[in-house]
Amino acid sequence: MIAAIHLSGDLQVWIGALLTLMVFSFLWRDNPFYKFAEHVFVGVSAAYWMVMGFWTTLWPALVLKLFPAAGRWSSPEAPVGAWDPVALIPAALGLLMLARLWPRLAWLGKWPTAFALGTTAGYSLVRYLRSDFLYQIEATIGTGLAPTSAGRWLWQESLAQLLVLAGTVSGLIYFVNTREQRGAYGRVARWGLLVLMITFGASFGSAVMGRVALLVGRFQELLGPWLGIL
Amino acid sequence: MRGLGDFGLIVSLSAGQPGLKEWILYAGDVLDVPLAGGCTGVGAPQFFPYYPLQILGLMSALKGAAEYEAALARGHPEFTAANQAATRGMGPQSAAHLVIVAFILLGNAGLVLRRLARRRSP
Repeated sequence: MIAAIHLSGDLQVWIGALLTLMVFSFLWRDNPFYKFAEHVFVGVSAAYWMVMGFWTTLWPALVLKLFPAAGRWSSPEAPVGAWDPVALIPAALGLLMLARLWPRLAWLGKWPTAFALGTTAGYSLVRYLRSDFLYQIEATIGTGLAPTSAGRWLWQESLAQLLVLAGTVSGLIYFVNTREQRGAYGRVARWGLLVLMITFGASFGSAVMGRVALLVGRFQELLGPWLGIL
Repeated sequence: MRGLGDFGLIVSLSAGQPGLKEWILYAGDVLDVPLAGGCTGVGAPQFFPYYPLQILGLMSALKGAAEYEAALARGHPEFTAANQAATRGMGPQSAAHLVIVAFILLGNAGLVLRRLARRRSP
């Protein structure tokens, strides 16, 4: 028995449903409806990030520091801050970035680019070294191979720790190319390759699961709020 | 409350960048603020290594949301959402997974049969 259809009267639901169908139409072949939805998506995304960039970065970090009184326009109740001349430096670097629009002055744009790359690299190096290297080593071997709790040996955690350690070491050995992978050394490297394959498989499976969840979400929107079947 | 370090817990529900990764790098690990997160299935594998040392928990994709709903219903029934949207979504999700598994098996069976046929042919 097919449930009765109750079409939504909400314009927002209709726009979402029609754009979803336009994107799905690509399964048939490339067509003007798909192109329209694609262009709308790109345009809306660009506009959204531009507005977000202005209100979350440019406005508080630059405009309000150079023109504190402007804060009254966006937040009448908020206290007016002090003028911060240091903000002139990022303002100048930002203007230099725009010099790339004129070929004769484009070389000026290299300075803010170099500054941004250098500071980002230096700042991120410390963060990544701590979070993705030191803490990961600690997580791999930190609790030891035989963790206990209240004097009781936790055999499941021990097995998991052993697997993680063995997988990490064998995975690293697989990438050592200065020694021929033969004999026992080769078997460890092949085990490392197997661990890598399982990891990539799990990663791919998770990605597929995520995409299917998105599809399920779109169908729930189409069949629920739009058609009123669910 | 003067900064991020004064927070008792940070929960990041995000997809893409900036997202949970940035909260781990620039908040949780630096300020020792407890951190938990929810993310898309595509992004989940990159966060698994951070559990349990750097994040308290991870709610990944629809499956994670359904698990969260089940845990909430068991531990705090008063906060249980009436529609159970994620749990309801797991039905079609599981059916889609079975279809994908069936296609993988069919594809591999076809490959094996083609190889066998090639060996038999002179």
